[in-house]
Amino acid sequence: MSEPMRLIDEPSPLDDGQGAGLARDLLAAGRGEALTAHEKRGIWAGLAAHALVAAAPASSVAPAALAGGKAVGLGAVMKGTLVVVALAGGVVGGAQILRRVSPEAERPRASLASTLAPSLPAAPSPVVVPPRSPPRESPPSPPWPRSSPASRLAEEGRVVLDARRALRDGDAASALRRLEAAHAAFSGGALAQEREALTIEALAQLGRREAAAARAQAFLRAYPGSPHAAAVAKLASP
Amino acid sequence: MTLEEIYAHHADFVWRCLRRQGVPREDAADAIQEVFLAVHRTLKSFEGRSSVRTWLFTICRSVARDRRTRAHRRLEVVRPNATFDDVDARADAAARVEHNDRLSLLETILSRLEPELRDVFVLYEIEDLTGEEIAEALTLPLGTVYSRLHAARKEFKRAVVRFEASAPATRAHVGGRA
Repeated sequence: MSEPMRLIDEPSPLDDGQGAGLARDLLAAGRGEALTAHEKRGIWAGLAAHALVAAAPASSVAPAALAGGKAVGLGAVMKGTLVVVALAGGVVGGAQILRRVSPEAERPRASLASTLAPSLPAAPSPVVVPPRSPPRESPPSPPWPRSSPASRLAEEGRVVLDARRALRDGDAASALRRLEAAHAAFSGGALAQEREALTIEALAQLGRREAAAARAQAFLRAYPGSPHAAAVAKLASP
Repeated sequence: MTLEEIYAHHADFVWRCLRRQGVPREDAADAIQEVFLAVHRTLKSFEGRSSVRTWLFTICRSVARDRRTRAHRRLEVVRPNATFDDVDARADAAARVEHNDRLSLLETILSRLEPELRDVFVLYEIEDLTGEEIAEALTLPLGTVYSRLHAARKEFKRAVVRFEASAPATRAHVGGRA
């Protein structure tokens, strides 16, 4: 059986012609329903941050609980927004921005690039690979101005990842340095719990067990339900 | 195929699927993240076995179902007996209904379809899945897909015609114009 033509493509979608225009308009509205570019970036940044936090099986810090309450043991770091930038850079033409209110959205759908705001940098940037890491774990480089909430979140996530890696490599001192700098830069950041749990671990690794214990006890009072609570609790007595 | 590529190409599709499965707008970001985290977890076992959208649809459906049972929020549900009075009666159906009103009207009409008809209709007429992809996504025989599509189209057309017919009456009712 060959497929029936899509209603929106039929010259007269309603058998007697009545309401034909409205039917097409409704279907076009449905087909054009989309996230805004800002929403899309924000959601992706949240995804990347969760994945970064969860991606360190060797660490004693438990993976973060994710939206929805399920812990996910992600083994790989997502490359974050790099591909979004690369796609933006590779686009030729197609300037129409596909927003939720786009009455003239029509088939074929506006290309992916048109969903990205024109303010994204035009040149595609290659994956930034820090010298000592395998490519899979390279942190994302933000494609948008650093002042946006989404890019701050991505940066905060990168700090967490770097600190976790440093701890795993036995370099607690540099982990602590990074985390203390982040504490100032990202106060109230979304990954505060993760940073604090890592800080406690770094202090313990450095032999500063009383400091670690004091902060661990404070952490458990502040975040009793935290997925890191079990790991932190182990360090709560010096 | 990487997670980033899937996200870049299909985030909008996922959002629409979640919305059609009853996830309220304010929960969309959360729900989309759940979907893509599930994608990330299962990406290796997926590779190539079916179309990406088919696969994503099944994940969306189960995420939406999970959220319903977890009852994070009271779902926004269009009342089954909602009439076209819900839509701004003063809007001229053909010419002046704005895009958001069109979306609202579309949602209203879709909400009146039987869920099994609605799923097929939306996947075919809005998301451009093929009959076979829909059969796989909904675990139905291909013939059932087409017969549901046929029934859904009839219902959809009837609803549109009914709306257009009601508009002059409500206009007269509201504004007193002949």
